[in-house]
Formats: sequence, structure tokens, C-alpha cells
Amino acid sequence: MMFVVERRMPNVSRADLAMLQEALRFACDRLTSRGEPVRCLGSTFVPGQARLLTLFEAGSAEAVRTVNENVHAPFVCLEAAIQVDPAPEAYAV
Amino acid sequence: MAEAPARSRPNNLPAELTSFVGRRKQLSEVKRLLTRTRLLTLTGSGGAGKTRLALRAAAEMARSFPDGVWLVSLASIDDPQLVVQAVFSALGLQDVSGGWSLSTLSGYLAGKRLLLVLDNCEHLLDSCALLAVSLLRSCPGLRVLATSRQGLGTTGETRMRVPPLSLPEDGAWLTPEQVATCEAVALLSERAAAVLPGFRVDHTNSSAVLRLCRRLDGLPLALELAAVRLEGMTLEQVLNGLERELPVLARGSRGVEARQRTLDATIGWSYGLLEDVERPLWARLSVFAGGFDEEAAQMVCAGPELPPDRVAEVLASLVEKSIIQRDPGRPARYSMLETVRQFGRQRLRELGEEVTMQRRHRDWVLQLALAAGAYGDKEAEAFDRVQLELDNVWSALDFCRLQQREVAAGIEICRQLQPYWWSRGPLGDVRRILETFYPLTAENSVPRGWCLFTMAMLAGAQSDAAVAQPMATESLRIGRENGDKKLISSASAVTLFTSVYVHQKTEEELLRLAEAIIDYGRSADEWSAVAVGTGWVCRIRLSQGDLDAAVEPGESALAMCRSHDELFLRGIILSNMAEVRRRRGELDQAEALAREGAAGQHALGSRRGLAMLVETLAWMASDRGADVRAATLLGYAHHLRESIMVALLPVHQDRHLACEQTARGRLGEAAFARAFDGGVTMPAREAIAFVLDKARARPAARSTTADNRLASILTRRELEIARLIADGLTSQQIAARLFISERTVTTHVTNMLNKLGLSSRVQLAGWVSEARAAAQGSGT
Repeated sequence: MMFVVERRMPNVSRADLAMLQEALRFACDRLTSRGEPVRCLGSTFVPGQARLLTLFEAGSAEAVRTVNENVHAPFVCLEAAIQVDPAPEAYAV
Repeated sequence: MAEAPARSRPNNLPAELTSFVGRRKQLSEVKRLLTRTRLLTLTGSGGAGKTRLALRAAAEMARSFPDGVWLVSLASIDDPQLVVQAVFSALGLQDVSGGWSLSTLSGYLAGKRLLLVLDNCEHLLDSCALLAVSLLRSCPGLRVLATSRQGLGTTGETRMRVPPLSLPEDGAWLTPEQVATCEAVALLSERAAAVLPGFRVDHTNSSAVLRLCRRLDGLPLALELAAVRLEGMTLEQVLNGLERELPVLARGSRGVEARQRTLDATIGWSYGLLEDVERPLWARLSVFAGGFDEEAAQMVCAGPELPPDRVAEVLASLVEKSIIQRDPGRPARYSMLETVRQFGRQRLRELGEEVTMQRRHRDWVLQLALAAGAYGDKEAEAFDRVQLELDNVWSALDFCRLQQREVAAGIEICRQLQPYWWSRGPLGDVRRILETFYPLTAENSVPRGWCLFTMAMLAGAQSDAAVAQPMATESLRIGRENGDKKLISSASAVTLFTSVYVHQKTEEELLRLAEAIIDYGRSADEWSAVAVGTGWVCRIRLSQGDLDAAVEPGESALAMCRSHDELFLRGIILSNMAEVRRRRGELDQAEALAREGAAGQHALGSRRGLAMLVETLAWMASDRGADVRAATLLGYAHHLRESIMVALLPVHQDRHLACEQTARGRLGEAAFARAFDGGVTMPAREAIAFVLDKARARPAARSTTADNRLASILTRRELEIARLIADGLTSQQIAARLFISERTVTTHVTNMLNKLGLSSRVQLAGWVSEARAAAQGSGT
């Protein structure tokens, strides 16, 4: 299942974002090694609104919550998400 | 920057209350490993002495860390997201920045060489592991010493198991003297001698002592709990009592779980031996996180079976029985080892009192919050009290979050503490906690309105206007919908505050909001609301450039704050009025107001507020041509901002640069750098005196300083040895006098030199002599 976690991160630098991404991967790996697979699929930062959206793949919202509570960066919401991948034929001319 | 001399290595290590027995081999190993690895975790069962070993090693290695050794106690923290905050607190920093706290911390530690001791990590393993890894990656001078029942489980970690104290092999035939040298026996013997003077291991008791130590698996905590019982029981009685509690275990089954059972059983046995009135007090005290004082214990724990006037006596009894520790200092403060506390908590649940006691604890925290938010004459003391009890505040808020009916109380605590959070942080963590409260409040309800008000204030304090403004607007709407005048007044204030950033309201709209606050204050007889509203009128006039019209409301608001001896609101108004006077060309008055504000912010411990006023005074000094003073003040302001990890506000950048360039130009590069660095490195007391432009404070009489330091830092045994050194005795003579080994004397001396930042016995003798002279001079 997919989940998206949103954070507000005002006054954040590129180095901070890289550090957070590394922290998320570390936390995911730890939980996965204990038999609860969680994968961080990547983040998107919207500078104008200081919003960071991170996508996860996991068996449960709780696993995603555990990962995100351990990276010392508060989040404003955690929601189930659906990744939309249009089939190639949708663009057929 | 040059390294600070060894004598001034900063630290927050607690004074040892009892002697450190044995562990010579483990201590050497810890110190050796710390020179080779940057992350060392001491593992072992509960009660094995991991914390004690870590603290002793940290104290002995302090000289290797120019930026100090710092203990971060995590035992009473349940929320993994509060771990970073615990590090901030341990380092004496304030987190009032708007950035990501881990990144902020990492930035602060990046250039430092220090040792962090993360104590009791087992219940926060993931959070601690990530903290350690992140900080070690970005801070090359950092080392981490962790204690935990299990390793953190991260790359680069070295683990060292802390075994129980040594015991001879089963079946070995030993003389009493040989028995006495075993570490476990030495600890039991030393602790027993503290309650039963003259206790020693000899041919009459060595066998029983050894049996007791084996029964307790050599676990230091278990040995300490048993030893204190020897005051009123014989060895055989203690052994028989423990035999009943501890099932006979098969040979070889001495693993970690078995030791935990031994410890639990020993604690249970100790509990069973208590008086009827002592047992419930132990259980009830378990609601406190991070310690408590007598007043708190009375308020939370007293009941029909334990009247308030008996609490002190029963506390003293629990101290004697090693259930709680009494920390030195005034007023007396008590703490409980986590293992003992958890046992008490379990008993509290069994008694069916857990929620009742948590509610009382919450009520006590609310009282602290009300005192801090009262805008009264005891504001500074109330802020200091809150800081001391922060672990208890988090614990109370956690209770409120988990109990649906307690959410309003949790919000009230946060709201009342808003001036404290503003002054000392941690803004980010409180906002996060309020965000968990928010969905638990009913839509359009007054608690939701207050939640939004507080969130908006804190967001505004972090310059997060985009978030603050809609919250303020919604808070005001809810206040009006419910006809809650207090909420309307407060929400109006925060709306005004956020309007400073977004400029979306006209002057008339702003003045109407200010008038609403004043009207409410008059009708409810709340002077603070009248002062806030009046102060806002001054601010609005100032921002419109109408300086003449700003004076009267500003002076009026100031007069109200001064008459109530209040500091927080006064600081804000003083800042505005100083700017009014400056722009009117009344520089003397402007400086006087800024200095008054700085004194107040210093008293409140608000480094952010103080930094701003020191910066303002620097500009004023530059305007007067006092360039050395300006450069020094710029340096101190820089140091303050660095300690709270905030940058200069963009709106102040131009004036800052102008001041710096002017001073640099007039003084020259070298003189400017000297003055600036002087401001950065000036000791705090001297810096405040400089800011306030008082004559340099005379340093405290060295003898008084020496006397205070000795009494507060050294253990009783260390003091005893220090005095004998001052009397001219050698280590051999001292060992003979005190019936301890010469090696033990040497160890104590080393510890004392490290603690006091001294480098020789001669210096130590000098300190003691001065302390004696001071004591004689004062008639004590």
C-alpha cells in the first residue's frame, strides 16, 4: 500500500532535505530488518509553501507512522495514497 | 578559537552521591574504547550499573573534550520525537528556531568536540540510533556514549556488555580477606557500613555475605537495596527474606532474563518490607517524570492514609531505604531509578490509582503553568520552575492526549505556558503536541479556539506567518461565535501579532482589534489585557510613523507592567518604546528603555528577547560613536543567537550591517575583531553587566566560590579525603585512616581534580583551606 506524509519545513536548506531523506531511508531499513517492510519512494518539496511530501510503500499506516516519528521531523498528516500510472495507450494518438 | 583550559570543561554531570566501587577493568575498557570508536553502547540488564559506569568514564575523560561532556537522560521520555529536545536541554540550549530541530542541533554541534552520554535508550532505540548516526555523520568532533539494555543496532557502533559485579567461582575456597576483595562484596560492604558503622566482612559473616551477593547475582542495584536493610536485619534474615522471593534457579541459568527476575524480585522484596504508609507513596511517586520536590509530592500523593504533613517524613524514610535518591541542593529534589519507578507504576495500576494519580499530577503541572502565565511579579521564578519540571510537563501533556476527556486541560497547560515557550522554547515540539490535540477538540468549540490561539502564537514566534494568520483568524471567529470574551481578546492579540507580518489589515481594523482587547481587560478587571491592547496601540502608531501618538499609550502600558513588576509583556513594550524614542532622537531615553528590557529578558531566561535588545543597544552605541562597545555588543548578540540557533531577522539585516561596517571602519579590522570576540566569549554574568552598563561586577570572593563548589560537587567521601589532604596527610596515611586502599584514595583524588578543574593536590589543598577560612569567617 502507498502512503503520503506531509511536512511543513520552513527555513530548510537542500542539505537539510538530503539529511532528512537519509534519515527516512535509515528508519525504513531498520523497520524492514525487523520484518515490517517499509520503503521510502522519494520526496517532493514545494518551496513556495515549505511543504515536503514523501511517498512510502508499506503494509500498514502504523509502520509508516513509526518510521516518521523516529526521524525527529514532525509531520502534519499521513494519508493512504494511490499512485496513478496511466497506461501508455492513454497517450496514443 | 583557542581551546578552553581543562579546568573550565563544561558539563552537566551529576555529583556522585555514593562511592564508585569496583569496575576498574570495565572503566579502563570504556575509556580505551572511547578513544577508538565514536559510538560506544554499554549494554546489560537493568540494575547492572551501566549509567554509573558511563558517568564515571565521562567524568574521567572530560579533559579530552574541550566543549564538554553532557548527560542526556532519556528514562522519563516516552515520545521519540522529544529526544532531540532532551539533547537541547542537556546542552543548555533553547530551541526557538523555526527550522528542523535535528538539523539545527547538527549545525550547532558541527564544530564542537564533545561527548554526549545518551542514558537509558532501550525504549527509544530507533530514535536514538537515528539521532546518533545523523549527528556523528555531520559532527566530526562528536563522540557518543550510550547506555541501553540492548545495542542501538547501527553501523559503526561498538558494544560493551556491563556484567554484574565480580564474584568468585562457585565452590572456590576463600579467606574472608579474599572474599572482601570481590567487587560485589566490596559494594555490599561499603553500603552496609554507611548504615551500620563498623560493618566489615570477617570470618563470622564472610560466608553469608558471599551467599547474599551470589543470590543477588552481583547486581549493584539489588546489592544496594539489600545492604540498607542490614541496619535493622541480620544477614540471615535478609537472606531468608530473599530466598522466599527468589525461586531457586538452576545452575547456569544466569542469563539476562534471569538477572532481571532477580532484580524484580529484590525490588519486590524491598517493597514488601516497607511500612503501610511507605508502599502507596512509592507507587504514587511513580507518576513523576524526571524528579520531584516535597511540595509536589504533597500535592499529588497525599491522601487520607498519608496526610500532607507526613509526606516529608515518609520521603526521608524512602531515601534511607534507597528507594528514592535525594539530590543535593536547595530546595531538596528527589528522583527514582527507572527500574524502581516502573515497579511503582505497576503497583499503582494494581491499586487502581493510576488514572487518579495522573490526573493529580496533571493538576499540579497546571498550577505550575498558571503561575508562569499569570503575568505577575514572580514570573522569572515561575519560568525557572517550569524548566526544572519540563519532563513532568511532557508527561502530563501525554496523559491529556491519551485521555479524551483531558484534552481541554492539556490545551490549557500549553496556553498558560505560552510566555514560557516564547521565551525559552521548544516552539516546534509544543506546536506538534498542539497539532495532536487539535483533532480531538469539537468543531467550533472554545477548546479548539484556544488550541488555535496558542498554535498561532507559537507559529508567529517562529516567523511562520503563513500558518499563523489563518489560525488566528479562525480562533477569533470561534471566540465570537461562542461569545467568549477572553478568547476574543486573546485571539485579537494574536491576529494583531500575525498582521505585523502579512500587512493585510488597515490601520482602523488594527486599532479596533486593540480596542477590543482593552475593553475586555477593563470589563474583566484583567490589567494584563489592558496593557496588551494599549501596547498594541503604541505599536500600530509606531508602524504608521506617528511617533507622537505612540508615546502616550506606550508609557501607559509600561506603567501598568512596572506597577505589577511584570517582565514578559514589559519586554515587548520596552522594545517598541525604545524604537519610538530612538526615532524621536531621544537617544538617552531609548538606551535606558532598551537596557531595562534587556535586564527583564535576562531575568526571564529569554535569549531570543535578550539577543534582540543587545543588538539594538549595539546600534545605539554605534550611533553615539562608541564603536568598541558596539562591536562587543554585536559579538554578545551573535553568541546569544548561536546558542538558540536563530539567525538575525531579515528586517534587521540592514541596520546590523550598517552598524558592523561603521564600527569596523572606525576601529580597523584587528580592533573590531578583538572587541567582537570579546563579546562572544565574555562570561554570562560579565556580559549582562556590560550590556546594562554597570561597573564591572567584582568577582565573587574566591573563598565563597570554593566553599560552594566543594559542597555541591564532591561526595561526602571525597570531601573527607580532600580535608585530610589539606591537613597534609599522604595517600598512604589517608588510606590507613579511612580503612580503604591507597588505590581508592588515588582514584578519589583524580575524580576531585577532574570535577574541580584542578591539576594538583596542592591546588586541591588550597581550595579546602580557603573554604575553611571562609567558613570560619562566617561563623559556620
